[in-house]
Amino acid sequence: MKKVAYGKKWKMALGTACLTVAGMAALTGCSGSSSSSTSSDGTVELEILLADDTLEGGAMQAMVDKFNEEHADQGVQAYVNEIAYADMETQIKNRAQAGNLPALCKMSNFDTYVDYVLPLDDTSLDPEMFNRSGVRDGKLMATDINDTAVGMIINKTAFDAAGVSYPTTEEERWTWDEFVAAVKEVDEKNESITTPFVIDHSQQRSGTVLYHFGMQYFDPEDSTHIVFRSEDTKRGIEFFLSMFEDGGISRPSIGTGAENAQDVFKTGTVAAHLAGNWVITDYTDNITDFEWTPVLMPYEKEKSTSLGGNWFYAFDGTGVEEEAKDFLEWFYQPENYALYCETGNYLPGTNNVEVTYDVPGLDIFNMEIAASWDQPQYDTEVTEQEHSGESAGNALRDALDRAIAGELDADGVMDYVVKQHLDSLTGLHE
Amino acid sequence: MKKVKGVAVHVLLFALAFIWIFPVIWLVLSSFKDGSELFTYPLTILPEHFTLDNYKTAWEQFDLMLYTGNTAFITVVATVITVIMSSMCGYGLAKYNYKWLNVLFLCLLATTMLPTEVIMSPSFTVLNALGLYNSLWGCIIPTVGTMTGVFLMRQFFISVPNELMESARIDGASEGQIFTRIMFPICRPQIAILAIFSFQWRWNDYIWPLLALSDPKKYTLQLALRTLSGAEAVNWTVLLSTAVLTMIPILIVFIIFNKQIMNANMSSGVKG
Amino acid sequence: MMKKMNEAAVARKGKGFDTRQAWAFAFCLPNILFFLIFFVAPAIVGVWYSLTNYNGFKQMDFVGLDNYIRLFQDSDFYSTLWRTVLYSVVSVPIGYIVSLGFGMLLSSEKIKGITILRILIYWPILLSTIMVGLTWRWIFGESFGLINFLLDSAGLPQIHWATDSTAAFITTIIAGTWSGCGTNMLIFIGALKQISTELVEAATLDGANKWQVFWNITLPHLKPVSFMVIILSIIGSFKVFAMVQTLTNGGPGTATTYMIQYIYTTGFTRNRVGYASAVSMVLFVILLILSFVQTKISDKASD
Repeated sequence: MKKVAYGKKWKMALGTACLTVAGMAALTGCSGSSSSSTSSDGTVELEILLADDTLEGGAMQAMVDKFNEEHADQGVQAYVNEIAYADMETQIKNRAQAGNLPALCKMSNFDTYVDYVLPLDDTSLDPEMFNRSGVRDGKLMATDINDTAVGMIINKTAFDAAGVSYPTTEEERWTWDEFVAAVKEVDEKNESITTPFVIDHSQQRSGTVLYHFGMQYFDPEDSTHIVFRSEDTKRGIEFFLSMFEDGGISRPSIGTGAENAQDVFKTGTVAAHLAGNWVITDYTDNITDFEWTPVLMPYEKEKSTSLGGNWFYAFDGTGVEEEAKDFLEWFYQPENYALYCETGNYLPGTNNVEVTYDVPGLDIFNMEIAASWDQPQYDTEVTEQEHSGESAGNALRDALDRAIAGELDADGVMDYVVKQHLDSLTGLHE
Repeated sequence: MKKVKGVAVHVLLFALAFIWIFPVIWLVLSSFKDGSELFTYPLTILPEHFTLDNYKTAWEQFDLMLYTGNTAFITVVATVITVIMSSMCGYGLAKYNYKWLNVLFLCLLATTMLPTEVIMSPSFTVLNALGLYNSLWGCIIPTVGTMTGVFLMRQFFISVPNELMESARIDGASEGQIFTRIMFPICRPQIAILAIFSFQWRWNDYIWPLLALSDPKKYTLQLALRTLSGAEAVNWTVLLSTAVLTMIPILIVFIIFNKQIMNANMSSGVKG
Repeated sequence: MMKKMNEAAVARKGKGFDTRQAWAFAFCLPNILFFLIFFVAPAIVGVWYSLTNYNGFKQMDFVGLDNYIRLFQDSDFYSTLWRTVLYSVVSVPIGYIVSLGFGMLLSSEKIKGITILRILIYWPILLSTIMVGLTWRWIFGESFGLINFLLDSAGLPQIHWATDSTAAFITTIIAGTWSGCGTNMLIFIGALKQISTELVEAATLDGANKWQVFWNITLPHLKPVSFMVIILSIIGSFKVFAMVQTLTNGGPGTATTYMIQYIYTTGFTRNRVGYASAVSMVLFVILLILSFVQTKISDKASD
């Protein structure tokens, strides 16, 4: 150290600082790369943003491959950009801000972004062919790419061993009390069954049970009037909670989502699972120790399933609007669309295709949709269309969680749900 | 008698380490079970139907090489910058005594108190305005000014005796030379520690990649891992195997840095 | 010679612009810039959000202190705050003791196979928070969690990890300590490596026992890093989120819903960004006060 040059000026200190700053600036500068929808050889690239469950068998990727093959020399190639479901909203919001929206998007919601969506009324797509209407202000904005429905799946091996019958036609449908008796019997007569019934930790599923008891969110006559607080709702909540009490038919750990109902069902220790149609692929792939089958759900006052699903739509201002429309028109040609539904085991969102599935039992879900009461669909439409950009979150699910944990009673659940709605959605009254 | 005691201590220590790490071993074991066995009760400890299919699916489903490359680029570059910046700032905060440095320290400390999760949308606005959007640099630049790194280096520099600086000054070294030739080298173990931390943070980070990237060709391993949790279902078999795969590179890096920490003989350096 | 005199004179003044201060500034400049760009700017926007009814999209009207008033009237906010404090009070000391223990154990070279031991004990540091949550779910799960399976096999009653509030609280503490203490342990090892072996040998020759060496040499030496470890642990414990969300999802009921998850579920999942920002600001102020107090205590202790 002794030979070190001595007495550097303070200028050198500043110099170091400036160099550092310049370095940072250089790093920042060279990084500005904007995405372009045209590749170097002039081919238009069509981005499809989605968040599929990987259990959907890569159906969209298969369609994209088919599209690209058929359009190999027409200057347009599509590609899939798959992201996590939980990140979808953040991505779209950010990409809108950065002016970098994808050409096409498949998602469970489009009303929130309707200002950015490309109207499809000048395409050959007929708004009437879709089960759920994507028409807003008289214009077709989004297409119903697939529907989802809630339904009951049973451990067939256990039911058969116990000699308990299960409904596959409307006439045989259980009431909830009959259902409870049936799964209890299956539980008693099977050594392997430890839990009679499990239900997903989702308010689409728990809501379905309450709809059976006649729950309504919004007054069918007046969509600003919230009528959640009612005797029917209360009866439904009390029944729901009774399933998790001692001597009930389910377990709080599953009711509150600490354990995933779908995973528990796969252990073969459960008699019945209130699920969605999308579990079918998973169960086909990952259950080998026992047989299972979808059956009709119980009812009480009403028959009901919650119809949900995904929308497929194009964004405006991407520079590839025409190509995006072409893709949609190609996609909904019956032979292409049927192939899509078959690959992913989807319930079709249109009424003009015949789909033959490799997996059993999806017809039951179509029966549920046909038999369902209108109220759930009405409530969904009010929430999504009149309150886009607002959300009461998972108010019902959160309230039921707390009730199962003993923090709330049925009245408390209703108070909580109503309060969350009044707080979060504008223009409502009780 | 002493020997018996020594053996007992060793057995005890290894048993403790085994229990400590068992959750991870359990995860690794589970990744070799097929989808049916994974959810069988009673549980099987060792996979009965040992399968590599989960790994095969993970490998086919994701362009893991590409994602690993992107992640490695982000991690290495960010770690180098983090180490340099944190040592400089930590040194400045520890070894100089000006009022504004105390204020600066508290200001920097405050940055750890606002979770990134809650300032995500303003952060994105800044990112976009700087032209870092849809660039791997967007996952690097915002993260390198980490307070934890600065804090770490500051606390280590505090325990280095001031006499080292004083004698170098008397020998005529400039402040910059004192830092680059004396202080930076003797903190090698601490730099290795910070490097491990930074490596781990960036390797496992998903918030900044989520905000900064929109092109699938630029995605990182953690973003790929996240796509495996769908809206309703978790693809457990592929998730477990992919998770195990993403852990391997960082484990290797860790073993390398571990030597750096452990082989350094600090006491001789600090004696002055 | 002249130069040296001049510099010394400037340095002695202590104020104004001098070489040494310029260097100090130069060392800190990059971090100062990042602080301004990536913290101050977003934080100011966050404060602005907290005064509006911003919903993440287009609606953004100024509402004054409404969000804060609503917050201070919300009983859930207080119970969440109390729960988070409890988590902090329990997890920080445990984490400190465990990580210091492992740190001292692993910095010793006398044990055979120490490298393997080190790698095993370090391993959890390398996992992402979500991985930690997933890992422990496979241990604490009620139906196919490993612990309950072992209890069941041994004919013992199972523990309701997920439905018993206390058990769920304990799982978050265990998983939090397990994943968090690796970082601190590494910091302790780094600091322990700095202790001069001659000092310890001299003390031992003077007849000090191991405990006295620990108390009089090791602990005082570790003071700067202990200060950091504790302050970062406290801040970290208030910010625990992704791991708990994966592990218990805040349940049963709200028994393990800590501050950030409360912000997240009441705010962002309901598009109430304004309200969530207000909660964040309150949390920020709480942590700021805590850290300030701790810095003062630590300064006093070192005087």
